[in-house]
Amino acid sequence: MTFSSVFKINFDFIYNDEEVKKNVYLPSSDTFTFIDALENEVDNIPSDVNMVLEMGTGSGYLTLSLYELLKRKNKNVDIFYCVDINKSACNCVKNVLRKNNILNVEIINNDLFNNIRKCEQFDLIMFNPPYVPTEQDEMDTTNIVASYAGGKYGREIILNFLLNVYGYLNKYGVIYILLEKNNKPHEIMNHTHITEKFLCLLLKKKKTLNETIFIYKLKKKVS
Amino acid sequence: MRLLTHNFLKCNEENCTGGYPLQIKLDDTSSENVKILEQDFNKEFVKNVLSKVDYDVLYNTAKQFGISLLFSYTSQHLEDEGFLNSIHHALFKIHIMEGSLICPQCHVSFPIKDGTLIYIYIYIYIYIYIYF
Repeated sequence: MTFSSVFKINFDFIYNDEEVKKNVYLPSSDTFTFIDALENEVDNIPSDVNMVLEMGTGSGYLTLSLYELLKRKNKNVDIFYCVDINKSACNCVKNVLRKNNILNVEIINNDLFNNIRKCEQFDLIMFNPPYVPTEQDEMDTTNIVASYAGGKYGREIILNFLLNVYGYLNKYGVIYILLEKNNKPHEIMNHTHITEKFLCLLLKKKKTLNETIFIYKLKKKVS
Repeated sequence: MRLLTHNFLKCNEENCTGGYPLQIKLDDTSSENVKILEQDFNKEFVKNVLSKVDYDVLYNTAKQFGISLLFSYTSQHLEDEGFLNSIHHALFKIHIMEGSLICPQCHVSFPIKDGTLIYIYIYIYIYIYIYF
């Protein structure tokens, strides 16, 4: 009797490496909520979505979970882009990819879309952003603080992302973004800057002890 | 870092205009500064990506790595698998492992270490607080 093995990513590196544990945002409830939402979305993702970008990849857990979900449904991504401001996070992603023999990923240590040309090149963009309201003195870091520090209403990085993302997304592309109640998600999603360019759909809302997480899906408004 | 990525990058510097394309400089002290790695060929993807990249930049950059692409192409070439394969090779299979990207305008240099581009430029902000 033979069993076909289900494709599974080995995430051990994230939990065993000392540098990662100290310097990189480890998967938490917000990450898992995001993955739950993606699990329900996976059937909506076309069989060959070509280029995916994760902004703020952190440990790589979300990108690789998406990879795993798609692989199990025989869906193929040609190339993933993982962007993170934290060098330790980029190193973590690189190592987890190597341990899993995954090659079709580009890793860029970068601050959001800074000076990446807008070519409408991505089919899917996801972002689990820094969403915690913080003072200004926690902004402008490139270490683990950058994984949570969101400035005023915890949404400075979120707004920067949303105001720039349009030109990176192709016509039928999709954005998945996580927001938290403190960010005032309804205010963001109803702002004209967003509503004139995107159709927004709330995929999931999850309340935990300390926070309420919202997972949104955005598509370009095509005339 | 693939040439696809190089095609999408321009200078990170605040007041720099015209910092595209970035110059690729390989690290000569490294034994394996470039690698050629296999990647599955997806015809539709290559055709799609061709419409997004700056072809002249790709042509010139590929030349630097010994790849001679067609100087220009027509819609007929988009159905030619030989042509598409050469594009696929140039964009996806060449990996710069150790080197740097240099802005031709302001000469700032961004390292590539173990295949990862370190593109961050740290801005130093001076805050002046005025308390009323």
